[in-house]
Amino acid sequence: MSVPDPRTLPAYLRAAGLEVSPAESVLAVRALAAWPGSLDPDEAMRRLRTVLARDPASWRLVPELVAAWRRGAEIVRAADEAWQPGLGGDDGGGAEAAAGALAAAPGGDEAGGEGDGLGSDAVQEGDEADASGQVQAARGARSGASARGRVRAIDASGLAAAARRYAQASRPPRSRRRVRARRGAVDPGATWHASRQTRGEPLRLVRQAPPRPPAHRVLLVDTSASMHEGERWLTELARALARPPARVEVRAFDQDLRPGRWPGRAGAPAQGGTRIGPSLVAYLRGPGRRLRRGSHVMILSDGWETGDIRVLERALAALVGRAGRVDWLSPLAGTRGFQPTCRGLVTALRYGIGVYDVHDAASFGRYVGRLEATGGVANHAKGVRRGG
Amino acid sequence: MALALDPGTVAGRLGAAGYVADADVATAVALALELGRPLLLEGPAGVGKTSLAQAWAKTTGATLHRLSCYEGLGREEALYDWDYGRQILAIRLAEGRGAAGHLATEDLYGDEYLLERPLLRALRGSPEAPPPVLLIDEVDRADGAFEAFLLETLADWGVTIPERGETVRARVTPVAFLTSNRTRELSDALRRRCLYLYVDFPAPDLEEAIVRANLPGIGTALVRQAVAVMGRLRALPLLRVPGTAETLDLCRALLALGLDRLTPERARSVLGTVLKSDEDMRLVLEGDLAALVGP
Repeated sequence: MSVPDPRTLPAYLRAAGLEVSPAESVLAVRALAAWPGSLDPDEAMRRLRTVLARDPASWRLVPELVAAWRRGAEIVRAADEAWQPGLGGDDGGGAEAAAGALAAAPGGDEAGGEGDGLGSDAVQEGDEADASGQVQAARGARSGASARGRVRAIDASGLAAAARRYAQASRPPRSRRRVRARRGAVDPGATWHASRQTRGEPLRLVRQAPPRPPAHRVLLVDTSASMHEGERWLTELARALARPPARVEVRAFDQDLRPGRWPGRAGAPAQGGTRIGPSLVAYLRGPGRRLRRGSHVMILSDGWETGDIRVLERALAALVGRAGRVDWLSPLAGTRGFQPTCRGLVTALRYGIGVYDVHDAASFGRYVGRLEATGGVANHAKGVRRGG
Repeated sequence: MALALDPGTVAGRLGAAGYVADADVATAVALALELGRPLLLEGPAGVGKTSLAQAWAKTTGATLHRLSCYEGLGREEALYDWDYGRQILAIRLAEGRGAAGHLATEDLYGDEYLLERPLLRALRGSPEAPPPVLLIDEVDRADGAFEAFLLETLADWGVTIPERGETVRARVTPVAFLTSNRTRELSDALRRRCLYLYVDFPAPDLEEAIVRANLPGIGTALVRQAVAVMGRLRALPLLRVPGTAETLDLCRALLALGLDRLTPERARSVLGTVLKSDEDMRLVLEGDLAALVGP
């Protein structure tokens, strides 16, 4: 089989949704200059991956796309792009935003086959490869969810206002006063004044405490099938909170949901429910290590846990221990006759996590009102009953 | 494009420093050297991201400049600071001599008052010596503001010292390694300036080779058992998954105890070398230790 011109690779990757800058194109072409003549195909793949990947997702995706390019696969758009909200209004970037699906060219005999050279292993390992030889690169393809939600109209301005109130309510106490500390940058003015008072003997450096870190707010969104009903509203909420001034870190547990990074539902059972415990564990292992006493964590989930409840218990115990305040926002909590009987909510209540109804702008506003009334994050008293 | 140092040579040189590199690592380092780009290493804790930089410095005989990032890290800790105490003493001495009015800016901002921090030290590396190795460790722990500052340094390999009106440019481009545990998403701008390498937990064969390279006297059966135990531990929903560093700690502990194989009873006492949280420890101890240790 003839190998495509290496110069066509960057354009091909861009068409498949992988953001490749001109500088990276130059690097890629330089890295491939001697390929396939003298360079081992696996070695070429490793070079391309090092140059073009930017995160673990693209680290896995680049070999798949390069293998597809090598065998001349055609790029087709995914049929359903509704679940790709582009949280910041920018839907163009990131490997996860690869809205295309790469369908193997008819008669392509090398889909994941041995001896294919570039990327054959990755295609075999990837969960996108199927028996028909199709390589599904789209991360955001939606698998037929119902559109019935409790919310029928999205009050965007109400959400934005509630998000602003939330930013205020969850703001840590700040002061312009300079705080002296044993460590930190030297304050030359204060040192000078201090030395004048003692005539310079002994000379003592006056240091300022480092600036307070900004508020750390996290929204962990359950994107499993059971949450499909309010997905448009969830997206709008995430978008409103991710923007300034709230600047909430929005995640699908351990996956980042910044613009263009909305994940698919790999591993989420189609009939609903998710394994919240392992997802929280994955979050705590990675991004959750940044949680601190002033962090405010909101879990947006219906609490339909399908995994081992002991894992969820351990994860919630660790989460409550690390963060300043953890709240559970359930889109179902305000429905008539609601009882927190599903396993996730029962476990959350045992660990002193408050369950609040959040299903539209007004209910989110009410939740923010509760935050304001209880003194925000800083004054939140933890009522943790470990395993009680 | 023929690389100045091919991946095989890189792997060999890293091996001489006790770092067992697979093809991905060797290629990434070779490309970083060739293209003069920083190498961003991501992956779980304890898989050898930091030790890669240390091993490269060791094998090339270069000076390692390490900057450990944390929240609130600023220019003063990363780039340079002034020795304010000495500056004030110099002013007072000049006052005593009645020469305070004659003090010029250059007198107070000379090299004797400049406290070089890791970034500046790396930029001021001697061209005669091997290229210095700059390790910016756990860059995800630093703030966004520091990341923005880092962009300028990594793009131009130069920094400005405004007090002296001087721009310091690297006389020899440092070999830069940035590590991240993904506790925070780094900006795309920073990622774009770096080559990327994701270091995952090693395959059992590679992990065995790593243990043997670091602990030459260890028995084959013990290594195999330790690596198998670590593989089973990594499959559990632990809050902190043990890495290769913990595998080495476990093997060292077993050697120190004079054991030639791990039993369930002994496992209970050495688990502290690999599990670092109460919740993880309880999960493992409440499980089947015999199955964990294996036949």
